[in-house]
Amino acid sequence: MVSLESLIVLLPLLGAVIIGLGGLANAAFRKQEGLIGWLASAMVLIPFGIVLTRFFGYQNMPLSFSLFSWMQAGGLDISFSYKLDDLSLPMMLVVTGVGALIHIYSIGYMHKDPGFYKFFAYLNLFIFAMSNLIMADNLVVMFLGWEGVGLCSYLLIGFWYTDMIKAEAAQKAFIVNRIGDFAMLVAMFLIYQMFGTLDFSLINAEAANPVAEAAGNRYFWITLLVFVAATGKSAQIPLFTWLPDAMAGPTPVSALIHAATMVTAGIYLIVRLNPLFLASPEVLMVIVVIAALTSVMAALTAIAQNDIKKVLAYSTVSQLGFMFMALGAGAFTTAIFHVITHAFFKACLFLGSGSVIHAMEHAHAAEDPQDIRTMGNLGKDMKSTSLTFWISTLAIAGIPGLAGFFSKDEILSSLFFNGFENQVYFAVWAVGLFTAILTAFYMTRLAWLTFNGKARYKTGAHIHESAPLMTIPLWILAVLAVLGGYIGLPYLIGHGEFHLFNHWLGDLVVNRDLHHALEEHAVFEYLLLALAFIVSIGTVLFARNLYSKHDLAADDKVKGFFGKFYGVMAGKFFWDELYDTILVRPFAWIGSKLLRPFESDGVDGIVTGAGSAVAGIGEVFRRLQSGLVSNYMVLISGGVLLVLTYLIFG
Amino acid sequence: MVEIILFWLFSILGIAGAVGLIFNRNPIYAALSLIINFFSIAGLYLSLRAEFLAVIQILVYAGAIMVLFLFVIMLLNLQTEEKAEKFDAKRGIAFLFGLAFAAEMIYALRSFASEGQTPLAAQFDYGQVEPIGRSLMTSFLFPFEMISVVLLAALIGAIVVARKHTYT
Amino acid sequence: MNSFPFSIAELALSSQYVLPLLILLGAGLLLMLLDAFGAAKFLPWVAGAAFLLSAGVAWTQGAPAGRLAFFGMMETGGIAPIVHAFLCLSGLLTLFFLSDYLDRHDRHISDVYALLVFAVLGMSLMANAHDLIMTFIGLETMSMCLYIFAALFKTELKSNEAGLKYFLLGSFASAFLLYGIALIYGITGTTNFSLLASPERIEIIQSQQTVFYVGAGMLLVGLLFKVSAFPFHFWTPDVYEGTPTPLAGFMATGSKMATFVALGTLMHQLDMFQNTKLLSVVGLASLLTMIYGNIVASRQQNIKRMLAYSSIAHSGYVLLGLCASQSGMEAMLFYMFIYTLMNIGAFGMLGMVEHDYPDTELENWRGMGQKAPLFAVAFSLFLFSLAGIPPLAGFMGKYEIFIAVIREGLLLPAIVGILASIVGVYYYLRVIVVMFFSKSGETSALLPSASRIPLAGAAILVVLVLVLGIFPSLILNPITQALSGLSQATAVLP
Repeated sequence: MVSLESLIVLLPLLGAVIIGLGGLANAAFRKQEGLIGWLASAMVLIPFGIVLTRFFGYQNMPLSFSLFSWMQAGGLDISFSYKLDDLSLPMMLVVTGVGALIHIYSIGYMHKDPGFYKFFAYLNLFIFAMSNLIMADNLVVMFLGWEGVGLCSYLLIGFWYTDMIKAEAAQKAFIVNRIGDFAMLVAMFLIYQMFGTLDFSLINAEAANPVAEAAGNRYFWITLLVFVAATGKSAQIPLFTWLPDAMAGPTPVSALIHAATMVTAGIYLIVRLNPLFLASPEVLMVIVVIAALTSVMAALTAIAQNDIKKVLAYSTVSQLGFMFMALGAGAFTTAIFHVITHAFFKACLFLGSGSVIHAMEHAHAAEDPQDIRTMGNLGKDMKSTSLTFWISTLAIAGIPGLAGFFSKDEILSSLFFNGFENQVYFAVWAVGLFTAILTAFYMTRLAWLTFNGKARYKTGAHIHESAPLMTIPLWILAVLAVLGGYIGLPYLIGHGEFHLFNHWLGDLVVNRDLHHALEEHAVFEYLLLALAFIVSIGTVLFARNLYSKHDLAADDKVKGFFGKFYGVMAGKFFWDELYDTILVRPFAWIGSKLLRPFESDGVDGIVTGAGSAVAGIGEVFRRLQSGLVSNYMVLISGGVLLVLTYLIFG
Repeated sequence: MVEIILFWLFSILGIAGAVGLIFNRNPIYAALSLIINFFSIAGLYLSLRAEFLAVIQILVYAGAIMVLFLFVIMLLNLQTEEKAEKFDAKRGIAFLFGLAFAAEMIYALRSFASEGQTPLAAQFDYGQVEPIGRSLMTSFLFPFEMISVVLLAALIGAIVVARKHTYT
Repeated sequence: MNSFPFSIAELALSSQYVLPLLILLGAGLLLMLLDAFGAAKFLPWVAGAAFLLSAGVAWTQGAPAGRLAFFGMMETGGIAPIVHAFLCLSGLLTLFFLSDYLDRHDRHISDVYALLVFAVLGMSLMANAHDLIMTFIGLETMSMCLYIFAALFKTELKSNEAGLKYFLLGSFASAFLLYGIALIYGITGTTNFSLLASPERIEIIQSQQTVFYVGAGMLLVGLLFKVSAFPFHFWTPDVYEGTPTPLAGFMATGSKMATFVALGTLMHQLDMFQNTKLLSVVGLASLLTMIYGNIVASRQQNIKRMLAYSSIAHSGYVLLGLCASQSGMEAMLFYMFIYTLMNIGAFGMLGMVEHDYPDTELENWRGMGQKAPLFAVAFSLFLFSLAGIPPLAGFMGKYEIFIAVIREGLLLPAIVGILASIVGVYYYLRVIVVMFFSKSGETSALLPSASRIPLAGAAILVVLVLVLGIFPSLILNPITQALSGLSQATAVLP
């Protein structure tokens, strides 16, 4: 029963249990940082090795394995069954690969933290949940992972919280995710109702059935709800607000969960169910519009932020927007392609920022170790961090030759060529291009203000490069951020023949067919590529010149350029305030005012404060008359009356 | 004809007793009103040929329980309530609910007579001692025995609640 | 009358069928005697052994539905043995936490064990009744014990008041129930389920719709009161708050399970209750209960009251399941079993620390995660399970309910239910937040000072909640098997 593949799932769980329970029960164990850290890392590295061998030995035959039958009820058999197929293999490679690197990095980063063991237990638990989410063969196991990653994310966001007010804020992530979960559950039950199964392969086979396709938009609600669920997990309008707040957690967590893996779960799920989505073009349209808005809004916000992690967080939201734009264009493989390249460079960026924060903190160089206004010229002392950060910055900015260029260009071109079928996509393409320009700008700003220019931190503070345990993962990720894009060369080159990634996924994931448009308007392909060249290199150079000339003062020029709108950008488009007004307060009102008469008050008013007085008969009678009992009776009688009236006359 | 007269007599008396119970400020009078109510109900049982039930009603309720009530009232020396209570909104609503409930019951029970089949209650012969004894010892043996558990539990409860707290 | 001929053989056979009940009855009497002869410290063990024995006998006695005992008064086949075992289990689990709690509060009220046994006996009578008379007697036996539980700490104001409130409101509700039964008897001339389901009775009922509705409506009200469905729930938070905590857990689980089974039996075994109007009353009550319970629970500052409101919300889910024919019955039993585990666990653990963190106020639980980490982790598991987070057992329970409801085509109620349960996550989470994300500074023992028995109880429950989340079929299969004998009836709800 225990095949080698099942270790992929079981080892991280085992690690979490051993470390968690060991740490809880034994104080001496908690101190063994090396043991804990490397044990946890091994529990991810071994699965990575297994996935790697399966990846290279892949024969186009999905590897299925099942742990045991979970439940059988009413003809519905749900098992803990997993599948390593075209889609889940590359995703698992990223999750375990990047996950292992981040584990190792964390050994250095979390050094001497009192919650060291807890941190690694959570991380391993997260990898377990994420593996469930990705490899699940049916929706229920997927949902287990879906909830699990949310839970781990929540635990890790709140990792350093010490006071109630912040802790309450940490709940936002969980609650927002619950809105998504609600959509997910309803979608799940709708799928069950429509298909009578919760098995991915059966659902997809049914949906790809031409007869089913003819039935029009019967998948409308399912796909819309899945998308809503995805907006929760993958931080899109309207449910993205939790992601920037999530940055309060330790930085490796931001890298692993809130950049590279968990937040892409929504995209993964939509790709998983791609036949359903292909059959509902209306929902794809909704997706593409929402994604474009999210993307540009987040990019604009990122320009006006000064917290290094906030900038990266909004950048993540924006990049996730790009992935959803690809989904909306029906380019599912492209979305996964961007998920992978993004995992490389964004993980590298976050880990780099972690390295910076670590250094700033240790040198006590500034009040707020995350404020880029108090940084500058850190590259002098932190060569590796600076270099890898710049490489990843150039990658995300879309400089040709680096990973981000390939995937982003592919997204933009698929949007553009969709435009020949539906004009809306042209507009979305324009927004996407604008966002790409903004991305190049704010990322250059961030990198420059952090690593170059004048030093603005306290004079006398000694900044040190981080330990090799932290820089080696940075270098590995930076190399991947350079090379990662070559698995998907543009269509231009040999009509897509060299797009290895598309070939890999091709059997399982069906994109919207743009072949026709691509051939017909081939000239645009060249134009787009040229445009991407000019725009990315131009913007990076422009931003670099601007900030190298004026340093921090260049922000004022940006402010001048945007005018009043800059306030909106700096204020993060006021989403939090909006939610407070339309959601939080009405809910509180329902609770406190509307349902108040139906809520019992506990001990009756007249006897409160009487302490442990011995209640005599007289007091009992007194309480009866003043008390709530008669109120309750009146209300109960009201209920009885309603029931009887309905039954007799209704 | 006599039955109908008796029915109205006992009904009106019974209701009057119940109303008196609620509205009397003096606990002794209230308890005595309750006796009137019990007696009238016994009368109704009698007119329904449930002689045994009527006797038991008088013995148990009007006899034992009422005496106990009166003892308690007198032992505790409960006083007449001084001030008449205000007729506030809650009481108003409760009163309305009561009226509506009564109306619905009357409507429903009137339909009972008017519509459909006659109920099976025609076979009713449980009023006398013998059939009651017979069914308690046969078909209702189990519930009859199980009622003793209720009584036992109530007994323990009374002791738990009433005894002086001598927690050891 | 004549359909039930009297014979000694029949009596002997019946006694054999109801042996699990007789074991409880004997144990209750034995407990009272032992108490009188000063063997008070053995009482919990004797009670526990009785529960185990009774459950064991019942479990092995399984039989197809329709094995009636005592002239059709009791059902002893079908789901009856399993329900009886579950009820005994709820009593047994309560015992784990009860004596320690009483010791801690210096209230050595040894009568409570006999009452606990009688309460379970009453629940079983009610749940497995095959006659409305039995339903009523069982309900009264159970309620009588629960009233006393509520008032057990009579010198404490809250408990004193809880007992009185529960007694008065409970009698009020029982009056409706009894009147309902009387009206149904008045129409049909019987209270026996088999006879009520017979064609000639159904014909009479159909010709006497109005009175039947009044009777059935009142019957429903009486039962809905016991499961604290909206708007008959008002007593719940006050009573639970005043009741000694482990017994409050017992109240919230055992008595509800018994009532739900009784309700389910009525609704699914008697054709007369297969009625759109009655079902929509239950359905509507279910929706309101879920919404109300969850919203109000989210405003509570006291953990015990929060759990009380959450138990109202959970009743809502179960009622929804009851609207969904037989698969709903299965889901209901499964859910109530799981709920029993996690709720007795939560209440029991709450009781363990009530002395050190007074009044179960949420505020006093700050930093529990640091002070007693293992305790906090275990309590969080129960809360997560109550919230329905996979892979804990609570999730499976909810999943079963909603799948059953969806299968019945009741899409909208299911969506409301899911939405309500999502709201519910908030308040469970809040407790966890307070426990873990507020630093108190002090670190100390892993566990609060408590004796081994309640700790063992909590540990067993934690394991069960984890294991049943992953292997639900361990419990689901026996339930399905027991139910398979029942006649299938379909439900309708507009």
